[in-house]
Amino acid sequence: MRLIAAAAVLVLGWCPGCGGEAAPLSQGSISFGVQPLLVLPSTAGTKQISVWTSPQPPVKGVNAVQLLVTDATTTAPLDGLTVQAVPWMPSHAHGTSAKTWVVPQQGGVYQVDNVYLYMDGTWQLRTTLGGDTGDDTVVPEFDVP
Amino acid sequence: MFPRARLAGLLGLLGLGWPAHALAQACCGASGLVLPARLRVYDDYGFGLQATARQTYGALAADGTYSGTLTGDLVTEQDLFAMARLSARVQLALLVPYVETYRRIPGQSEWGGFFGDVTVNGRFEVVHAGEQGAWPALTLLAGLTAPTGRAPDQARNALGTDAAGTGSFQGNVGFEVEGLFRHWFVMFDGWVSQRTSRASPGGRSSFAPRLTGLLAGGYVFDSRLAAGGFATAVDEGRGQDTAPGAGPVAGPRYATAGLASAIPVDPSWRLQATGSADLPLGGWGRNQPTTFAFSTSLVRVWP
Repeated sequence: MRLIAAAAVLVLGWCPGCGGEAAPLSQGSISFGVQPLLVLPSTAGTKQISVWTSPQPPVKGVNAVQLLVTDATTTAPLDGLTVQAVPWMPSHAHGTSAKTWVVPQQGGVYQVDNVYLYMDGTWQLRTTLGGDTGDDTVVPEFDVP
Repeated sequence: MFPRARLAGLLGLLGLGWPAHALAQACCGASGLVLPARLRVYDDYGFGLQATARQTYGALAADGTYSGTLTGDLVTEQDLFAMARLSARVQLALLVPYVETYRRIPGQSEWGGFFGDVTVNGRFEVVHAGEQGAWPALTLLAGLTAPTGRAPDQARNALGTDAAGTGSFQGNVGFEVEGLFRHWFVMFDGWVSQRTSRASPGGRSSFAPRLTGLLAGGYVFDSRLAAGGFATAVDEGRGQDTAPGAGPVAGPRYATAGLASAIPVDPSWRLQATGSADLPLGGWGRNQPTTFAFSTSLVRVWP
């Protein structure tokens, strides 16, 4: 069936579903392990961010990311931040069609859902950490095999 | 000067038939076989359609590691192109692509398509084949691609399958050298391309120049059936991004090899076909999916 559809697309330029209503992305069950995938400082150096992914390591498709944001000096968890995260493939300079959404949790934890990494390669999750003292950023980097 | 059968073969290689007044104008060769959107020196204008199917079978990671995949994108593309000769040595070509993508992720699949980035190419034929004795033909190349297609982050379909653009302009300049040796031909094209910068999350991405080399060669049979092979290498240096925490990143580097053939239908029509594969050169290539590709072209010209 896929071959027939491909032949129709190739010869006729017609494809089933082209231009149709966008369906929501499906995401599997989300669970995070004990060990983070990455631990890295924020750009300003004032925060430490531990990063988990679900699945871990991330795969081609829809993933979830959990961030634990702590003070770099006191290690106290930082709640109340305004977190925004955008997937970006730096070597090709493009993002993805899907928007992420961030669910703040307690204890400095922020869950980023709908992280759609649609092709193999190195992706960044360009993340803004907005707070009372201004914006800070962190850029976790993932290799999608 | 080429014997008639040999020249007929060369024209067959181009798939452009056998106009009698073209006897002394052995021109074009490999790129006419590999890149169909070009005119012979005695063609005034033409148009064509190229249909391509491309299956991703792996990827080269940033560190050069190659890994295969069974769930890579299937991309089909129809390129409508038109060519016009403005003078004895200058020709222009316009190419409008329409790209469809079939994508699979766990639990979901999607077809989508949209117009890609439109390209205008120019060719200035400095020396035609045979014009300066044994010297090869020399052509200067220039082109501009406009971001008329949607970049992946501008796509509207859920899986982004309607993305068919890069999101920035790209200009290129280059040269082509082409030699003819009885039934054989060999040619080399070299380009340098430069993309304009584009906005990125928190900053702006800029690109290093991209170098492309195309080496092609082949043989023309007395029957005018032509067959050849080609190889390309592409290397883009380290780009920059002004976003906080985003350092310089190396652009794609990859090589492709393929086979091509051409069959003249009549003096005005030709059929061409190519098959190629990006080579899984772990340790050399980087930051690029690897694909198999097959394409066919139907070209009509007015000599």
